[in-house]
Amino acid sequence: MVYAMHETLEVHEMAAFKTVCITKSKTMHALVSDPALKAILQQDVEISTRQLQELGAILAKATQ
Amino acid sequence: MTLDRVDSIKMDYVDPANSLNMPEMADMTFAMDFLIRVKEGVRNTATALTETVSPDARALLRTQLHQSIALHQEITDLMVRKKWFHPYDLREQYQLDQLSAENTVEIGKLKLFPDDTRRKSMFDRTPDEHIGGNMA
Repeated sequence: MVYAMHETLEVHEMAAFKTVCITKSKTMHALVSDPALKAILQQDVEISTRQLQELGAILAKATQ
Repeated sequence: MTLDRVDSIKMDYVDPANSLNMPEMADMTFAMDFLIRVKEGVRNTATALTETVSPDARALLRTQLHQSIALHQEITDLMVRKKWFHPYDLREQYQLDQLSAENTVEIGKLKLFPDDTRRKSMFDRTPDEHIGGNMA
């Protein structure tokens, strides 16, 4: 085990939260009409997707 | 209830006349929702960081925390610029909150989905039958 149990749980929780956030930002992106807000939401989707992949990498290592 | 033609037109809440300023108000709500989520993200990441010891996990969380804080600053600046958010003017903020609360209550009263669109029990089998979904 590379990580302590509570670390894994913490990262798992972050990943679950991020998943909800990405889904929501992606959905809201279609409903928003203001261009600036749309741009920020798009940016959030991209950043959060990358962050989720990073968290996923840690979880994969932890569950090895 | 007898449906009067004139009345039904007058009562039609999908009439564009009733949607005046609606895109702006919707955007304000979406922005507020986003702000709340980003804020929670910052707090979650900070909490996770204080619970972590492994150097690589700490480094990752610290980077993500900085990214989340930057995102929070961006959405806050936008909302202040758009006058959707008045951190320095409590009276203005109160009136805005009051307005959106009233609007939300009004939306809550609307019958948005008037017809029953359920398709349950129209089919003789369910897609999850093989895992016992029809018994649930």
